[in-house]
This record gives sequence, C-alpha cells and structure tokens, in this order.
Amino acid sequence: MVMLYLIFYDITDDNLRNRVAEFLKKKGLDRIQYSVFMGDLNSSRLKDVEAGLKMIGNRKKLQEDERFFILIVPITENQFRERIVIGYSGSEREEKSNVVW
Amino acid sequence: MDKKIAFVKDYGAYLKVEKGLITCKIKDQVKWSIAPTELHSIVVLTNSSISSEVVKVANEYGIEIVFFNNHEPYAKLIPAKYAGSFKVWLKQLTAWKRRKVQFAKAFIYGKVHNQWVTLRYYERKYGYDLMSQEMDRLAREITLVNTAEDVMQKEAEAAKVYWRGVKSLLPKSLGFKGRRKRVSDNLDPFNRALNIGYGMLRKVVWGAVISVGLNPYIGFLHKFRSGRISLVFDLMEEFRSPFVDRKLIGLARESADKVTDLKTLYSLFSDMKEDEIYTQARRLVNAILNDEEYRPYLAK
Repeated sequence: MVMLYLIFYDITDDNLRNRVAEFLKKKGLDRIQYSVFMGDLNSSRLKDVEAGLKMIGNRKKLQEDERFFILIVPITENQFRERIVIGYSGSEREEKSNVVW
Repeated sequence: MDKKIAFVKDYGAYLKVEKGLITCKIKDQVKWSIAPTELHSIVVLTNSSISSEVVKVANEYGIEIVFFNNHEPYAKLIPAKYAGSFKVWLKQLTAWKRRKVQFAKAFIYGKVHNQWVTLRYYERKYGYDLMSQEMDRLAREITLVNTAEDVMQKEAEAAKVYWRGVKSLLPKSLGFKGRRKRVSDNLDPFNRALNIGYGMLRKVVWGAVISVGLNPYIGFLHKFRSGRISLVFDLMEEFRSPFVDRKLIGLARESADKVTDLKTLYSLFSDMKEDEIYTQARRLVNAILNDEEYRPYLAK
C-alpha cells in the first residue's frame, strides 16, 4: 500500500545534511522546504529510505553539540489536504502533471 | 502517485545519470532531472545522446525507453533477459497457420464496432446524422465473412463512412479532408495529431504485447514482413477510435489551436488506459494458448 510521508531532518554537519538531501531526491521524494521532503512510498521503498538514511547517519561519530535527527511521518492524503499554508514557496506541492517535457 | 513519462524533445539533448537522477541536458542547461522511481517511460522524440548508465538504470527500475521519428515509434529497448516464451511463440505460429481469419475478424470487428460507438456518441448527444447505422451494419457483416480479403474490404467500407463522419464533427478551420497516412510536410494538423496519438498508442500496445510474452512480429491481419511488428498493428486496431480519435475530436471541438501544440498532444496521450490494453494483450495470449475464441475490446 502506498502512503504519503513527510520527512523532516535536523542535521548540523553540512556534509551529512547534503548527503541526506541528495539521497531523498534520488529516491523520488519532493523537497518542500529546506529540511522537509515529502512523497509517496510503499512499504518496501519506505524500508529502503529508512535503511539508506541510517547508513548515512552511521558514517560519522557525532560530537556532543552535533545533531543528526530525522523524522519520517506518515500522513493520509485527507490530512494533507487539510493543511494550512501561510506565505508562498515555489516548491509547495501542487497537482503536477504526469508529463516531464 | 502515478508515475510519469519523460520526453526528450530538444535537439542535441544529452541524457545521463547525475547523483542518481536521470537528467536531460543541452550543453550545460538542465531541461529536466528526475528520480528513476518516478518514471515509467522515457520517450525520445528527436536526435539526442543517451548514456549507457541511463539504459542500465532504466532496466533496473523497469523504465521503458522508446525512440520516435516523425511521431512514430521505431525502436524500443528490450532487456537482454527478455526472450518471450517459446511455448507462446510456437502456439502463435500454429494459430497463424490455422486461425488467421478468425483473429483478423475479431480485430476488425472490434475496430469497426468502436468506430461506430464514437460516431453514435455524437449522434445521441447533438442529434447529428453521421450514418452510424451503416457502421453497425458493416460490423455485423464482418462476423459473417470467411476470408481475410473480405474482412479488409469491410474495413475499408467502414473507414469511408467513419472518416466522413469525423470530418463533419471537426471545425472547418482545421481543413481535415479525410484520413491521410502518409507522413509528409504538408499534412493537415488533425492528421498529424492522429499520427501522434497512434504513435503513442503503438508504444503502449508494443509494451503490452512484449510483456505478455507474445512475439510482436507474428501478426494475423497485417502481413508478414521482416522487421514489421505486425501483431502490434493488429492489436492496435481496436483502440484507435476510443483511445485516440475520441480524445482528439473532443480536443479539436474545444479549440482548433490546441491540435497543433505538441506538448498538449503528447500530454493528452500520456495517460492512455494502459490497464485495458494490457488486459487485452492477456486475453490475446490466452486465446492463442488455449485455442479459445478471442474477444476484442469493445468500447462503451
């Protein structure tokens, strides 16, 4: 079953943060804020994303003042439709066409 | 979320994999960049280069790569592991020897029936007279003939009535005089749009025929010729009117200008009802394997 997921991260290390962003893009998720991605995943793709993020996190031993913290939150389409948007961002998810031209 | 279809339409474009994303570039300008998980097809419309890594990634993710020229697909990448099914191919040859007329009749019956449905839709909705009862009569007659030549004869008769009907449904400004198959520079916009639609339809049917393990070269209705995907042409017949003509007639009646816009056209045909086409391909392979009757796709 396919479900919509929001992925938030708070990562202090620039290198790790970039890795995470690139990884999520590669997995077909849309960047909707600087540190928030979202997209539809089925259970196997979710596991794949989870494992990949864990691997990136294990690359570096964190110091006391460093953070590597990621949240993956499932939401229903209905809940997403109830969202309140304030302000404007070019990357807010809109109804996209299925054609890449 | 439905998967997407990506078009390579810019002359001299270069397709490569960058940071895991399939990227289309011209010189250093990125035309598009997308994760392989989001794609189901890449359609190459013009001269361009493709990196072998794209082919590898496409194979891994089950993305089809199809090449078009003059809006017709002329090549499709097939994974090395594909070999169809030998049993199916042998059965297909036996069927070709023994049941050619039966299959030809089914395809054309489906085609004419579906053309009739298209005309009847407009007759009922707007009260036009498009001679649809003539189409209905011809469709019935197809079930009674016994040779491939007679089937073709009926198909040609039906085509005349059908395209005359279509012509009267279109805005005069399009200058549509009838169906022209020849690809030439001075083709009218509606015929060109039809070619695009049939091209996109052929791409889907081709994929469906291969995915069920049929041999695309062994057709029943269309003649054998080395390198011609006759079976794909056969199976396409049933879908032309409901999946291509109807959409285009609707578009043309809404706005004649839209019929000339390539992006609109390719987008219009990017959400072909693939399920129905794949179901039909499965019906065909079952009919061949089990010596059963083949039931064509009948539009409503």
